[in-house]
Amino acid sequence: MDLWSKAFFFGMNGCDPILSQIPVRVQKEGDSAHIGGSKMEYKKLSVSTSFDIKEGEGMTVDDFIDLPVSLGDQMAGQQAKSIFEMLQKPSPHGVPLAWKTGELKFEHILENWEKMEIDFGNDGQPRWPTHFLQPAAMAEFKEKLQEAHNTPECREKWAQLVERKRKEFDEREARRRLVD
Amino acid sequence: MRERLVEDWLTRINERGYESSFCQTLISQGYRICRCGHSPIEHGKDVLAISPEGAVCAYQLKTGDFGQSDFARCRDQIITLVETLPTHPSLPAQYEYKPYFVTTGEFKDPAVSLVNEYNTSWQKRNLPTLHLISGRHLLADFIRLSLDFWPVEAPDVRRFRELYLVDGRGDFDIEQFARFITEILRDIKSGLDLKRRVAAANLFSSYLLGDFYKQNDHWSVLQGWTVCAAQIAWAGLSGNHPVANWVDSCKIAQNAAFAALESLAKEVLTEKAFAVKDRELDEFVRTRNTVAISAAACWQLISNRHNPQTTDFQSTVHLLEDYLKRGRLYFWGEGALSQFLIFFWMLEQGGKRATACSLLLDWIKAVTQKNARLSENPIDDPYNSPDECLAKMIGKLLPGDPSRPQAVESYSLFPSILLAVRRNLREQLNIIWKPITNVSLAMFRPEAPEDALLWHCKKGKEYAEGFARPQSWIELRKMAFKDDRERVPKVLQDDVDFALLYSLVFQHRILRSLIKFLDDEFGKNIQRNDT
Repeated sequence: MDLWSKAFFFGMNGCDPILSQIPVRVQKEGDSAHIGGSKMEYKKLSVSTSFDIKEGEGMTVDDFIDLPVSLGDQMAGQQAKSIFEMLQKPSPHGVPLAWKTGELKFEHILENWEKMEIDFGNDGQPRWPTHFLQPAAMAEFKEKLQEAHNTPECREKWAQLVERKRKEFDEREARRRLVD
Repeated sequence: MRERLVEDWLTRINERGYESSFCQTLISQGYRICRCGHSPIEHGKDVLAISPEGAVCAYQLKTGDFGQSDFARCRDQIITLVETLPTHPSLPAQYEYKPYFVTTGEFKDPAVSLVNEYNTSWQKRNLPTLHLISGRHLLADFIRLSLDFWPVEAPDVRRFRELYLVDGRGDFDIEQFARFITEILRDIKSGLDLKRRVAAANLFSSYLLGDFYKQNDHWSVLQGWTVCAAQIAWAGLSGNHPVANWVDSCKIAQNAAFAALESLAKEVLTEKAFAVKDRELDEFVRTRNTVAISAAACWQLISNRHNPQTTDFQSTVHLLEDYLKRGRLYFWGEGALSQFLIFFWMLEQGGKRATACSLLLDWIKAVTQKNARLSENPIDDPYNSPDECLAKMIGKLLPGDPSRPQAVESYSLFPSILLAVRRNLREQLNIIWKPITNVSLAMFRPEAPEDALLWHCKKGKEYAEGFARPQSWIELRKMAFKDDRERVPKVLQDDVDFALLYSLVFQHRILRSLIKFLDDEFGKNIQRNDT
């Protein structure tokens, strides 16, 4: 059973590139949690599997390991789905960006980032949000950014956004202090 | 099977190891315990109790079979037991006195004959006669009290077997032990049922701690009894039962915990107490140093309330300072806040204010740096035992399976900051405030205050929040001095010594209200005025 659990968690933790970047918070005690003033809503997820019963014949080592790894992978998929559903709600830390293929405009990207909190590193450079996109959408997104980079008008708009975001960031940072 | 197990335990136990269970049998027969425990002032009377009829009974506890030569060896103790009247503040001015001699084995015929002759002589001199209680008698009492509470379901039986079959040297599984005791104390149906269950909790604790007594593993013994006492109190308080139905049993468990704490405190001050006799990882050795010195300091803080600034107190302060200076202590995770707080108060009471403040600020800085949001190498949360933290640390050095990043929070930062605020360390906090705001502050609040007495609390809320931006110093001061002791379980409010011991053992139960309550009692240099 230990080996089965180990293989399950291997599948769950190791397969999904998005989930592997999102920190997990484990509830240690009690029956509810309030994070940053909001009550956590727990959602029960489950996966199942089946196997053939054979007379006097067990599983091969590969099958025995693959089954829980695959279950873990399915569980990770369900978790990712739930996370994407959650991300549909706009917040200062995440705003959905949707467009019809081939119709993405640079202004869409700017509007999207305008709604979000952007932090700046010690090097003074903005830490732009991470985007989770399908490969084709990602290619279009990158292309649009490159185009904008080559257009003086877009570069100007971008620079204005960076300055606004820097000001917001500086104001937020200035509030991280002790006062009377 | 059960009888054989109790018999096996009884034949292997030392005097201290069955003291508590013996007291529990007396309580169950309607006796009131006045004193329990070996001490320089016991004069042959390990246990002092008042019978339901009002007679004062004193018991000398021994182990093994008792022959004529053994009697000769203990002659002076026995004569003192019989011929000197006990003194204790809770005894009436006039009373009938009954001395008892108890052993876990059998009394051989020549010894019984000798006692009979002594009794005849004492009778002629108008002195009380000596009564004998043998192992067979004890066995019957112990079995009767625990009869209905032996584990029946497979997981419970397995848990009991794993807890019982131990080496007795550092392999105490406190979590499983707490779970086992909770099972005995749950679903209480009546006052009578409560009495039976708390008696059984003490009996089973004695059984399960037997090997730790045998190996003089005082730390495990004190942990076990503290958990048992806390959970007995929980059973009484959560069911709103009259205190009289459970308090005596709770006291027995508390006394046993304090006795182990005292033994450990004495051992710490002996020569070569920290000698490393085998190949051991330095982090492990330093963890053991931290646990042992904190237990010793805990005992000294308690003693200091009743008998201030003894030589042992000063010696422990010096030992602590020396180990701090030489880097011989190790705070393995946030659970070590329990040990840290004891050191902090010990240094303050020892007149080492600067060292105490510097230690506190170092702790705050370390947690702030290591447990900042998205930190990749945070200090482990208080739900990890020292062994788990060390195992994780070693595990990080070895390649492992993929794992997801954990949300980084701190349970200890806010309470530590509150201690600094209570000492008006605004300037020092101001310097590090910006990174402090990058830490998510975690807290658990049990639904009812008494639920904090359970090792694992099923009902309650976890919180993760941050400081306000900007954060008002005045608000912080208000929080730091707000009297919220109503969140502290009553049994801890009423007994500050036990509250300190509880905070040492329940390392994961970081309650701001309890820390402030203890700081009121044990802290020095608290500045209530903001100047």
